[in-house]
Amino acid sequence: MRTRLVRYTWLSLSGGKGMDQDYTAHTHNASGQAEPGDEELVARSQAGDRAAFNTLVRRYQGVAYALALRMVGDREVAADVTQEALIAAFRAIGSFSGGAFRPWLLRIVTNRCMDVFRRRARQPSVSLDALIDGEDGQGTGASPSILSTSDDTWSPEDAALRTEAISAIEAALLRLPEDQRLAVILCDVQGLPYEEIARVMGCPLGTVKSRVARGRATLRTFLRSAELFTPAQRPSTGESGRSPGNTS
Amino acid sequence: MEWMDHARTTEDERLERLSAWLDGELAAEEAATVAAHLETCDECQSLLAELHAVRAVLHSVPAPALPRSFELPDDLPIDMGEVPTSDLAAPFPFPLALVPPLEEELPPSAPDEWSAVAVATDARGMRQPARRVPRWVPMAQAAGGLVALLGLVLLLASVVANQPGVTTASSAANGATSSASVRNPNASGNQGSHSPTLAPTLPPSAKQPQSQPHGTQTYSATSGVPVATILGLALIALGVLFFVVGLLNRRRTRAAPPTATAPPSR
Repeated sequence: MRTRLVRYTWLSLSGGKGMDQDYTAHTHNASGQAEPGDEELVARSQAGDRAAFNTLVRRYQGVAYALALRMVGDREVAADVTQEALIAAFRAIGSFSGGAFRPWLLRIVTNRCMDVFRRRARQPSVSLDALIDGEDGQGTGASPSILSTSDDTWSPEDAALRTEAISAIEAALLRLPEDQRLAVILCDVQGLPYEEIARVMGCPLGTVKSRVARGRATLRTFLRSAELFTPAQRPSTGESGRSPGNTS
Repeated sequence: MEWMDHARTTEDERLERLSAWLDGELAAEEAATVAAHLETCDECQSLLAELHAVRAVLHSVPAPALPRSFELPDDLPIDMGEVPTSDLAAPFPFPLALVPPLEEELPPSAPDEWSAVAVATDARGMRQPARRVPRWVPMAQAAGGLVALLGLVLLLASVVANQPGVTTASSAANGATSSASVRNPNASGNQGSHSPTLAPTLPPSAKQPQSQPHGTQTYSATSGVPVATILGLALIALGVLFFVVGLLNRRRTRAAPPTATAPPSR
């Protein structure tokens, strides 16, 4: 058991999300072409330029889909939520009053997720367990084919361990209350700073702090019972910086 | 500083501080206090280690692969005029308590930077539009209060007028009633006079009230109950009625039930 846990710690270090690029200023896309910054794209979208908005979509659809998926736990539903949210964002772009685009978009995605939850509450035919396990027991997104970082040097055993670990994490997330789930996803999975999370949620900073803390504490219980981690290593007392992969 | 003192803080408070410290979101002074405390406290060190481990596990989850592109197709008709305010409202404005507080205790959230409408929410975070007290309510209440006050004055004046030394009192009563008549043309027990007055004679039209048999403020020592007293009481009753109606409308508006249900928060 100990070996497995230690192995998982190693696995967790080698995975991970990429750094978020800062899109506020002039930037370059994957093929090296210069692209305008977010502010200009928003201005153009407000004038009705759909192509400009689609550039914004290309930039933020990953974050939007990831949030939707971790919130609702179902890939098809998450895809619908993402598409609807992006369309709604285009309709509402006229009322965007400035600031960062990402929290504004993520708020719309969150509200669409809330609609899903309300619909589910009215029709409790879909059980949460079925969502967590998926139709074929594969989980919400843990099949090896979707891992964005594939490491050819991993043994099949390691890959399988990782898959199992990931679906356990996703399952644990789905057991959190929605407000804590959102806080933990935005903070720990997406790496947003508290201030941006506060803007997505529309709540004070103190409430963000509390939701993140409680979400983590609850997850610790779930993950411990799933025997997924060992808090063997203490962080150095000098650590107060954020982990990589966050703010723009 | 007592920020991490185990005797003066709850475990939840310490958990929150450690969590925020881990994220680098504490102010410098508070962060220094936490760091100092951690050097000596095993319990908080292990709590921090657990938080750190949870965070590390979550960091390790890879971004899911996109199933398709979500770009808007050119031929999709999109109505740009409509702004769905429900999409822009704050999803989780309040901390959700375990026991939902009474609706009257919840303050409406201030309009935040993206949704211009101030929305109230119920305990489960469901949004309700802020309900405004209709405009007529405060005005009706003010008018009601005024009417009641004048009725009181009239009542007192008529009571006082029963005493000897009547002239001053009756002209005072006249003055009071004629000013009341401006505001309440309908509440009249008046039969004969053209002007919509309660007590019949306006001061300029000369005749003393006692000498006029009808349309006047008739009273006599023998009748016992002057008309003015009755009218005064009627005015008071009317004023109080207005006030209470306004009050009921205020209460009813605020206590309107939420428009939708939400899954209970755990």
